Amino acid sequence: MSEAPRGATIQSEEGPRALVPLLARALEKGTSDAVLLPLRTPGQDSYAFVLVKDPRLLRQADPLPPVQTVTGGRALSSLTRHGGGGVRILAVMRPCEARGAIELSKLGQVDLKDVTLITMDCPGTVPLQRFARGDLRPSAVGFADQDIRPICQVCDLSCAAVGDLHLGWGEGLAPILIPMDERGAEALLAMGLRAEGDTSEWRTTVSSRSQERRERREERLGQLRVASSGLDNLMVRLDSCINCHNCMRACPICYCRVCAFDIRRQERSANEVLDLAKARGSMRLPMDTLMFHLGRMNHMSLNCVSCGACEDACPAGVPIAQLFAMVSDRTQSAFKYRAGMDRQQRSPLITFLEKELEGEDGQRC
Amino acid sequence: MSGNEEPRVLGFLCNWCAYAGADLAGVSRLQLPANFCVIRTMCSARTEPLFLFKALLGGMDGVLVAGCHPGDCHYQRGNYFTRRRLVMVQEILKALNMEHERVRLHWISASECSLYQKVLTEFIEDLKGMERNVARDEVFL
Repeated sequence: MSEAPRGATIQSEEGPRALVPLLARALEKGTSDAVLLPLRTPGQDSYAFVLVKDPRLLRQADPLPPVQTVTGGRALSSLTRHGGGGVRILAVMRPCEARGAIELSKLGQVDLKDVTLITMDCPGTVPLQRFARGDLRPSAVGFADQDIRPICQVCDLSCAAVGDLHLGWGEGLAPILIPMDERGAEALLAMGLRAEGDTSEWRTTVSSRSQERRERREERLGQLRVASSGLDNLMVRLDSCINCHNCMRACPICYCRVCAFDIRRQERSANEVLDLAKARGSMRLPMDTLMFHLGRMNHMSLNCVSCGACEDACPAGVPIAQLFAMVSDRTQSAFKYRAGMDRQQRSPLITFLEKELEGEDGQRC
Repeated sequence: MSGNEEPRVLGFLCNWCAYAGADLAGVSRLQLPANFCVIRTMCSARTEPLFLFKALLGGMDGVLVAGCHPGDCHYQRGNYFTRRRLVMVQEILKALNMEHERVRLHWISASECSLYQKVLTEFIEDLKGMERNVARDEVFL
C-alpha cells in the first residue's frame, strides 16, 4: 500500500484477546465460515490450533498463547493442502507462523485463496520444554520478557504485518486493527469496524523495536557464527544431536511426506559402512548426523522463517533454530529474499534471471 | 597439502557439454591430472546440493560442477538453476566457515577441451595450497 494504512482502534484492555469478540461477530454475520486459532486444551495446560465454527467455543480462545506448540502454518496446511474447498477461514496466528503459511503456499502446501490471515504483534514465546515441565507458565506475556526463547529474542520480524489484517498492540499501545489489503478491509468491515484511526504511533514503535532487534540479531548470530566456525566447532554445537529428526518433523517448512534422510534406499549399506570404517579407522555410528543438518540447510534454509519450532522440539538442547537463522539469513540475502514477507516474490530456487549473481564477491561461476 | 599427497577431486560433468569437453581433451591427448574422478550427469542441474556435501564430508578435497554455458543448456534452463543452487551452497559453506573454495562451478562447452584442462589444473593447484580436508579425519560426523 503506497499511502500509510489506517486502522481501527479497539477499546479494550485485553491486548490480543480483544480480537475474540470481533471474530465471533464475523462468524455470526456469516462472512466467514470458520476461524482457525489457538485454543486452550481441555487439560488447561497446553494450546492447540482449532478450527472453530461455533462462536461460543471462541470463549476458550487465546489468540496469542505464551508457548508455540504446533505452528499455524502446519495447522493450515493440514486443512488446505489439497485446496481450500471454498471454506472461508479467518486464520489467527503469529507473524512467523503466518510467514510459514505464506512460504507453504508458495510450495503448494497451503491454499490461501479463501483464507484471511490475521497476525499480531508478538512478544515471543517461552521454551516449550520449560512450559511443559510447568516451571514457566506466564499468564500474561509482556514485551520485555527475558524468559522468551533465544530465537524470539533475536526476532526482528515479531511485529511484521504479513497478514491481511494485523493487530498492533505492543508496548502499551491501545489495540489497533490494521487492514493490509482488500481482504483485510473486508474482514474488518465484517467485524463492524472502520479503519479510520491513525497508525503512525504503532508504526514508529514497531520500527524502533525492529531496529533494536535487528541489531541484537546481528550481534548474537555473529557470536554464534564465531563459536561454530569451521567443521570442528560446528560439530561441537551439534554433538548432542541424537538423530531423532524431531527438528525436521516439527518444522513447518519441511513438508515432504518422506524425508530424503528417511528413505531406506538412501541409507548406507552395512558393507559400505564397513568399507568406510576400514578406510577411516574410527567413526561415530550411525553416520550422517552432520549430513542431516546440512541437508536440511540445503533443502529449507531459503524458506526458513526462524519460527524456532525445531529448537522447541529438540530433546537434546541443540541450538538448531539459531544455527538455521544464522545460515538462512545469509542464503536468503544472497537472493534478496526474506521468507514469507512478499507473497508475490517466488521462492529463489524455482526461478532465475538470465543475467544475475555474477561476481558480487569473488568468482562464483 | 603436506608432503607429496595429492588432493582428491570429484567432478560432476554435464553429459552434453563438460563431459564431451573432457572426452575431447582425452582424444586430443591433453595432459590431465590423474587424481580427478568424474561422475557424468545428464544435466548440471542433476547435481543435487547434497551430493556436494556428501563428497566433502566423505573426504574429497574438492568438488567441481561443470555444465553448459548459460543459454546453451541442452534442456533450455537447467544450468540457470544450477547456478542458483551453487550460490546457495557457497553461502551455506561461508556462513559455517567451511572452506567454500572447495566447491567450484564452471561453464565448459563441448569444444573447450583446453579450458577443461586449464580449469582442472588450476583447481588442483589451488587445492594443493590448502590443508587437506579435515572431514577426512573427523570421527563425529
